[in-house]
Amino acid sequence: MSTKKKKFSFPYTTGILIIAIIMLFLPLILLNFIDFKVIESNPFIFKIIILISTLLSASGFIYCTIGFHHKIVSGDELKFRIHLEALNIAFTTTLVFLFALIFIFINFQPTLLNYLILIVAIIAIVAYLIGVEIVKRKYR
Amino acid sequence: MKNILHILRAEKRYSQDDLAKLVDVSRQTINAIEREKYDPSLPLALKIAKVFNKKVEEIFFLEEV
Repeated sequence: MSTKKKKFSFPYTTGILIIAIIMLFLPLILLNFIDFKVIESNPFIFKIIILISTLLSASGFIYCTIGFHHKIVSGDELKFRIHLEALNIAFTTTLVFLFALIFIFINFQPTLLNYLILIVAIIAIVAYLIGVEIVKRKYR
Repeated sequence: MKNILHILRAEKRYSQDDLAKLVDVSRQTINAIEREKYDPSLPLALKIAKVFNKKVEEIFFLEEV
């Protein structure tokens, strides 16, 4: 006898994504409202707030990443193909930029190496979005 | 890869949207297949063949040299 397992379909991804973004910026928002003296006198509470909000934000982003991936994989096959080809473009672009930026930063601006991951992440997202548009045109 | 999908679809008087719903893909996928911009996966080709009650090779075939 075969039993059919009900697949988890990752609901509420958009809502969770919005909450994750809010949680990411929550410490910055709180800093505007809480008096700096309060933070100085009791830094532990503020550290806990940062820890919890960052943890929730990271969990939210991981859930959404897996959720969107699941939706694309189990959805329309042309969209999946476009996604894969755009990822290919994004990956190659990111790799080229990574090596170029490492070379430039090490030789001319070593302090910018601190922001390398952030810069590369932004490049990857932009390259993916441009890649999707380029690949879409191919199949239109 | 060549195909006669648009002819079969016209014979059955299906719109691209109708066929897309029958084989569980988007209308854009059917459009891309008909315009020979995209080669369908084997499961999708089999689904399309089943809808038109034909063999896969009767619908999809390689370009003759």
